[in-house]
Amino acid sequence: MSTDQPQPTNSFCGNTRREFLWQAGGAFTSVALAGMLAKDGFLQKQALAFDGTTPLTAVNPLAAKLPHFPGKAKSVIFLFMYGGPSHIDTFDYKPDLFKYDGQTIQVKTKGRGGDKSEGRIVGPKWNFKKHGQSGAWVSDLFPHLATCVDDMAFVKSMYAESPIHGSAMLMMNTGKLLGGAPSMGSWVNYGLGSVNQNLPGFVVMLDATGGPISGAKNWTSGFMPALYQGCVLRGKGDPILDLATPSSRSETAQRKLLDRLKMWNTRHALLRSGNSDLESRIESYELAYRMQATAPETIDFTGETAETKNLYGMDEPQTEDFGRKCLLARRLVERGVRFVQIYSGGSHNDANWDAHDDLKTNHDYHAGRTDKPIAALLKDLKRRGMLDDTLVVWGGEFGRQPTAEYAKGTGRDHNSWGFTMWMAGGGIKGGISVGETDELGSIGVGERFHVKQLHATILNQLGIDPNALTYFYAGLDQKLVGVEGAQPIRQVIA
Amino acid sequence: MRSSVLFALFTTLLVGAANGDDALKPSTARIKVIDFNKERQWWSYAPIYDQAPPQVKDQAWCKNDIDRFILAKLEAIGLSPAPQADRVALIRRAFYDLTGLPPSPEEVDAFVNDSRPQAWSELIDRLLASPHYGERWGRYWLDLVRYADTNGFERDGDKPASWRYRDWVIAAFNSDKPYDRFLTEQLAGDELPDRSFDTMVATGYYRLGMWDDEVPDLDQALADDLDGIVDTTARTMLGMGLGCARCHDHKGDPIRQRDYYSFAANFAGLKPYKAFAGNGIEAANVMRSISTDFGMVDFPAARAKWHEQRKAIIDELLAMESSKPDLDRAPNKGLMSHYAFETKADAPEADRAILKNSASDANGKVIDLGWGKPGRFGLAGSFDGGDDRISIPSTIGDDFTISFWFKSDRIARGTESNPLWFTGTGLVDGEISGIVDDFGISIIAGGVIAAGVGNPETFVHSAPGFNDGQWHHVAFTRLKSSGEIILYIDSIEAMRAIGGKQTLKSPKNLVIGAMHPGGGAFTGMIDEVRLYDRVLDRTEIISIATSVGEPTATLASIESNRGKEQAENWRQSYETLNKLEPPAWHGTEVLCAVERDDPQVTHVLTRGSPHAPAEEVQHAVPEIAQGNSLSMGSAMEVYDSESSGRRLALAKWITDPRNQFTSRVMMNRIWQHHFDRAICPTPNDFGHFGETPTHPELLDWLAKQFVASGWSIKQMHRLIMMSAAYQISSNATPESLEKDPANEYISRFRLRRLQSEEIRDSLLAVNGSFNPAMGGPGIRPPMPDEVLATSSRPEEVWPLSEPASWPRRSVYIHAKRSLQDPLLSVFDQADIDNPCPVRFSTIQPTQALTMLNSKLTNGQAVIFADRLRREFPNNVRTQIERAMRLAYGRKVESQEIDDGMRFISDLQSTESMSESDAMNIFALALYNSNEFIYVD
Repeated sequence: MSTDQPQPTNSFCGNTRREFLWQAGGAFTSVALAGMLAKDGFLQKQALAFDGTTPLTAVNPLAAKLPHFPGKAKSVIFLFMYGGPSHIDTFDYKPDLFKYDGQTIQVKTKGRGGDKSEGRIVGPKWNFKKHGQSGAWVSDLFPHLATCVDDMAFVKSMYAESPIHGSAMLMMNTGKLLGGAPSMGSWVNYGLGSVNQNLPGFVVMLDATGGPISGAKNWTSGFMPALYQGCVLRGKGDPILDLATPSSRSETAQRKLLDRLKMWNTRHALLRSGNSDLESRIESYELAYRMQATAPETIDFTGETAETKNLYGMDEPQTEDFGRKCLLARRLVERGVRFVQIYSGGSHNDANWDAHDDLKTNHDYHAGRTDKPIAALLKDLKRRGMLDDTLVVWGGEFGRQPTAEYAKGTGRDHNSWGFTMWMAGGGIKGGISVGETDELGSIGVGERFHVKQLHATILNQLGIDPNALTYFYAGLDQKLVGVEGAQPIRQVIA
Repeated sequence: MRSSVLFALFTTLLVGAANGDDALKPSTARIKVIDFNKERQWWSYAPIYDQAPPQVKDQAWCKNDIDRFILAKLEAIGLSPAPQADRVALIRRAFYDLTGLPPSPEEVDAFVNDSRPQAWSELIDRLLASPHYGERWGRYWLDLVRYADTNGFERDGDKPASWRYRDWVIAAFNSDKPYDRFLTEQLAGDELPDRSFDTMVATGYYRLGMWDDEVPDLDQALADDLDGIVDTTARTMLGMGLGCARCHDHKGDPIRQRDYYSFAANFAGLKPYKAFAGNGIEAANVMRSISTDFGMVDFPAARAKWHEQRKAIIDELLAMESSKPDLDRAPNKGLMSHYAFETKADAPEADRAILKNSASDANGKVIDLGWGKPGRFGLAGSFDGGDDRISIPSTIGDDFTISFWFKSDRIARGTESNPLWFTGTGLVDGEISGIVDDFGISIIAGGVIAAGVGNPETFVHSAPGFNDGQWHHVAFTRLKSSGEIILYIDSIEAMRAIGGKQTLKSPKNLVIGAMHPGGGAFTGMIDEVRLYDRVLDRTEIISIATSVGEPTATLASIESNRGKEQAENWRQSYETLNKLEPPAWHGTEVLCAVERDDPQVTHVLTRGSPHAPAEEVQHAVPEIAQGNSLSMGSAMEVYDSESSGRRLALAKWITDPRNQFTSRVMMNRIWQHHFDRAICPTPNDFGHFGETPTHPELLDWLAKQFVASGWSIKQMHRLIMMSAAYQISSNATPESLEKDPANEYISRFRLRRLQSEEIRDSLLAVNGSFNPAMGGPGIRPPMPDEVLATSSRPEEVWPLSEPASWPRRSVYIHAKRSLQDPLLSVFDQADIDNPCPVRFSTIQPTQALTMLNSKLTNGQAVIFADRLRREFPNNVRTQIERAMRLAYGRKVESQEIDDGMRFISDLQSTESMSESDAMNIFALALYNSNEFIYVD
């Protein structure tokens, strides 16, 4: 593992800004300096990395940068429950709903099926109990997570701008309903870089059934360079696309190829003085070679004890897959990866949490596959002292309605007016719950929290001022939280 | 901003909070105080000045006037330009710049050995004539207008026939379509007098944005779609960041929020993509069926031939019956109304106000009409697509026949594939909204004649293509007792159907030349409108349409006068006439501009929210862009009824030679793609948030040259490439690095990495598998399973196109928003959702991994090595030499070949590799080398 320590510099070395900008170099700087430069000039806006000094043609615009202020969290693990888990069947206890089960009552909802003003209540299909010292309500869907509630902060009045998967996924991942904006992980990658140059700074792990709707748009770098986009990592086989040398070629043959290449490229560069890009490209091949040598170690679990693997449920078929991903997430974070996103569920319909027909079957299936691994992740991080600087986020793109979607059955339609997400670690207060929905769980009441405030909270925990992390594009200082900004959810911050 | 406004609104509107948010109420916007005179001093708001090329010391270096501008700046900082590049560097530079492909070794040799002074200019001409030129330069344009083949979001469905727009762009560059015309066709190809299939395709420009067919907020989605058009047009064509003024006055430039919305109003007539219950695309809003022959010679020629044949038979028949052509033989029996349009242009005003009905006392009320033009018989009515129409009393309703002549060359409204008469352009119409007892006849897109009756709605229509600028006769009959309706065009039965049996009494009046409820105004001529209260039979209709006599009487007469044989001849010719169908029109679905009947009123939207409309604005261009005696103002030209003409007026303003934005912006882009850096380095923003130009005088001079050339992009390539500045070496001297570190002064040429498409295309070109086929639907070459697995539908998302298509150029790869080719993506392909004026050019280890380890590069390397083995069997030395020549273009030194031989034999001995496997690796190494990936 190679770790580069950030070293702040804050001078232009006596050069004019423009001269400075066009000099190749990998000097590290702070985001504060970048903020100072943000208003000035095109070149560092479009041709330089976030630090305002590193040209994108240098080998490591992803080099680590100092945050705005010391952050509590060094890394984020975002557990994306794709499809929209039902908050009222999981963490948002609504005793009235049991009472009203089967009754048609007046309640406004908006989902895939459009606007409705009344509907048949579906009582929660699982019982709730209080857990931990904090007495948090958790349904029987999550027996393992229920043992972790004192480390978790629930936000029960989340809301989003769209109750439709396509746009809601983009909102949760990029802060915008329309495609084209960078995803949260890209912003973090851009803002903080990676302390491990042998691994990507932003890693995404997908469900075996396929990606979420819009695929790569969920981890895109949008209008930023592609180098900030999420890297899809697989828990088995070749972890990263094209990381492995083709099986027909030995590693020594690969090295010979690289040596030959270096010889040619060096000779080529010697004849072309003053073009630092050429040296950068030579260096990029050495970096690639080191990645090849070190990255596979990350997915090699031989160093993990049987106890750990079993903790994650890797010994049971039902939890093996998600358990492997959660353990991998811990290993990635250990190695300095900034942002890890794991999708629970993929593809369409019941292959994810989108329980339109049979709520019971759907949620039993998805919770059953993830409950134990996620609880294990929290416990494992905690016992290793890593939970303090690892922020774990759980949730989907929206929640679900208290009423049935169809005349028969238990399926619930989408609900973006009120739903629950939880966070743990990374400077988040454990054992608390903020915000609430009405007595039916149909809409947030009192103080409600927009998706952008979740984004602001995540950036804040990483030491980034969400309203100062900007990227100049199309005439605007673009932000993850939108040009008007958003405040973190202060109540959950320790 | 708009999202946060939206969620505030969302809470209020959708959740139903009792009190409205302030953000909902139209606010009295603070109007930004702008000193326009002062602002017009800013370089891009100022007019283009005549710039004389400056004086320089080293006259001998200058090959043309460009060089004087460059050299003067260099001399001022005490620098000399780099020496001329060597000839290999020059030909490689020219090939990649103009075609995006490498020269073959033979082409390199021919150029290197050609010492004639004109060798360079001939090379440029040859490359400009290559069809690959349009593929290369069209790609830049596609980046700017955010070209995509899919709509994004959950289904990420295909845009129907979007590829035609891509092909149009490539063809436009190849044919050196003048840039003013190039823009005009995209903006208003449907509004042009000389529109054609191709100009309709060009308006696909408006359909390239993303579209969610399942929107959470339709008003917002429509506003976002329009914003994409406004922002792309302003940035791409004017270099103006107008999109910044969507929510508030521009923070840096003299652009008010009002300017944004008045500019947006130019596009307010466009029908948008439409969401509907089925979560699809309503084709009628964004597509039209147009014959590929439309506006071109083939179809009219076939039509003309048909008219000729028909006329010959008619003449023959008339001669046999000793009758005259052009005799109006319409029967009088049952004639209720007849409008003959026999009013001369100089007739007194009083006579024009009332259109005489020669069959009854009922008069038509003329709203407006062009008079006195020659018609089918005598004079005819001429309709200009504006207000022109005539309202006539309906004198029919039970059994009836409507008979008239018309002639038009317009596309008309509606959809050819679903030709419902009331969606068309009115001919003789009595449509009343709802399921009522009405009827009418219209012309639909593609020249379909449509007719129908209401309650139950019953429709008939003809084949397309009757908008061919010729006179055609229409007869529409209805029999009350059976409810049967029949439509005849030129006396040939087009279609029949059974409708209701009630009296069709709803319309009190019928409208000639427009739709009865308004809109659908006809452009063309109409003559001899007759309403009968009976069903005319086929022979009567033939007599009206052809002037040929009724057969029973005519045959009897001929037989008695000329004998049986002549009568039989007549009968046979009559049969032939009845069977002579017009040539078929083959409509093709085109993604294009389709306008509403009435452009929507445009409002300033408070804080950009479509739920908070404020003051109304008129269509215009931004105030800062007016002046210099050039103003769009009221110069709206309403061309015909199919659209408002606003976009054509806008196109005229944008392409006016006095418009200082258009020529500067495009000239800056042309320069950019030759020097890998634009004169103004922010090509999409010439405002205060952009960078200032390094050579403003040169840019003005070039802009003037551009307009003077007739907006010829190819001439500008020639001009730039013939300069000495374009031909200098990329090698930097210490002085040049010291005094011009960023190479802003062009003291040396800018070495550049190939762009993503150039890299992929070069792999194919060098290994000989390249398939030069052009155009057509997007190709889908193999995609790694790992990438497919990221899709929500891994099995269906990327059906492979036929293998022969895989080695085609990258510009033809199906542009899908949710799935990107990994090689193109990692080498900084333009983001598909955003306008991209400058590609990033990053250097990343993941690029190295892709080039070293991917199936694509390894597979192509094997094809490369196979080619060498095939061409030079059993001769490794020659294989190595040829491989390097193909990859680099230049001659290879024997020492390099020796090195290669050692590499091969080393792999063979230490890795126990076959010679062939070792050669595969050698080929892969070449693909990875900087000399292959960089252009000097």
